[in-house]
Amino acid sequence: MKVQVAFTQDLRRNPYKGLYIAIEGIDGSGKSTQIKALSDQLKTASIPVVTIHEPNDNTYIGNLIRNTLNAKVALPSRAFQSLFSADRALNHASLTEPALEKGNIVLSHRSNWTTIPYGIEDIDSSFTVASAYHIGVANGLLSYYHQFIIPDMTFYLDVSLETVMKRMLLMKKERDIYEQEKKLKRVLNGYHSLLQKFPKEFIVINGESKEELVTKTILKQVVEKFKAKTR
Amino acid sequence: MQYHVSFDISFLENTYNGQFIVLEGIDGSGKSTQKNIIQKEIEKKGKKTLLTHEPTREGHIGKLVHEILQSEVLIPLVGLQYLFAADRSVHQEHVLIPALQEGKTVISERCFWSAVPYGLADKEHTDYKNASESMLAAYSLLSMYNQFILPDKTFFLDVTPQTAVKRLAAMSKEKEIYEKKSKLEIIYQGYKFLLDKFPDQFIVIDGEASQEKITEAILSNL
Repeated sequence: MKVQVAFTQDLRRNPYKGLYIAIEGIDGSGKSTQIKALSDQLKTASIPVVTIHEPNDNTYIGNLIRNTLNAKVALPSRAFQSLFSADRALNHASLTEPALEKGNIVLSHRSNWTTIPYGIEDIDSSFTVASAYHIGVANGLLSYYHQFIIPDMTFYLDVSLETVMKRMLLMKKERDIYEQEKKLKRVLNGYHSLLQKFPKEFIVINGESKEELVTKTILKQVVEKFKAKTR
Repeated sequence: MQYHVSFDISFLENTYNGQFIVLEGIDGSGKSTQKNIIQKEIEKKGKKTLLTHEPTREGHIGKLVHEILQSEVLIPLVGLQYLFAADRSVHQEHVLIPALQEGKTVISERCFWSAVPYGLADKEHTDYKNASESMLAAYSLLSMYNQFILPDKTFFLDVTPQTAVKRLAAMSKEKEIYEKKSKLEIIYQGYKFLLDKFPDQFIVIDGEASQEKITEAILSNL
């Protein structure tokens, strides 16, 4: 049985006075480094900032995700996608939205945009517009059941696969580098298609330039937007 | 900016040897009772069976879902729907498919169809008078269940929320978050909506009839 679904909808925008910023990119693109640097500099400038990490290792769902991984239970990949969304629902209700309501800058490591490139990687591995939308609807990007607030600004750290592989080798993070490379390549393709489909939602940053330069470029835009919003 | 979304949700036909039977209905509609009786009747005919239920209450995800339903752990209700989807996905891969492969008759209390009435009951401002909006919300929920196996037979045990509340009170078991009367009423409306939109997928059974009559009605449809 096939059910055909068709509708028109906008993304759910941030209704709060705070500014919602996300840093996106593949593993090894420098998200954590940038979040740390940006947060430090915003604090130095006395701008209220709250950092969020998705998935959240400190909640019971984040724990569950990690425990399940550690227990090496073969969880169906779609189950993982749904777990990430459940974790996100908890995070948004308990951390992200309250912080935005209070007028903070929320600086988030990943956001609901992640759902598309990683969902495609898990479920489909071939990126079609229909499958991207399908994953988006199932995980609250566009949906008539539930929508997550999407960031006001999403910075995509653009790095090549080669760079990321070099960084990972240096960090000795991955044992099975070859498997990791194949996976990352699919995720990277997912991001490229996402940028094509939602060009207005992303600010592409050259993630291969110097750390300090990346921070400076992002910081300037964030501060300007925050000032404009809270003026 | 408006995005034009279109895609198909595919439900798989059961191509395994075993039969997949599901009992649906609001809490207190008699699913558990009938499940056990039906199992005995089918086994009398020499068939192997597997009794199961969704949510599973087992494994990491199932246990967490169970704790949330008992209100021991708090989570936004939309988050709970995502957890149900995760739990159902594990259930399909690890329980349902292996049993069907072995040729067992699987009798499950609930399946992915429950996501529609329960999910819509969680949503703020669900108004079934606005059918097109409700339909889009139902599709959005069902999109979590792409590639799920359609039951061969889904029986809807039709009891009014009034009857269900009386039965639940008589059982005096601890109330789960969905078992309050106002909630049961909106869930019941959700089932009616689902039956109206997918009439070919359900066999409606008068759940207020005697236990024997209900069993008879189910068995005569197998």
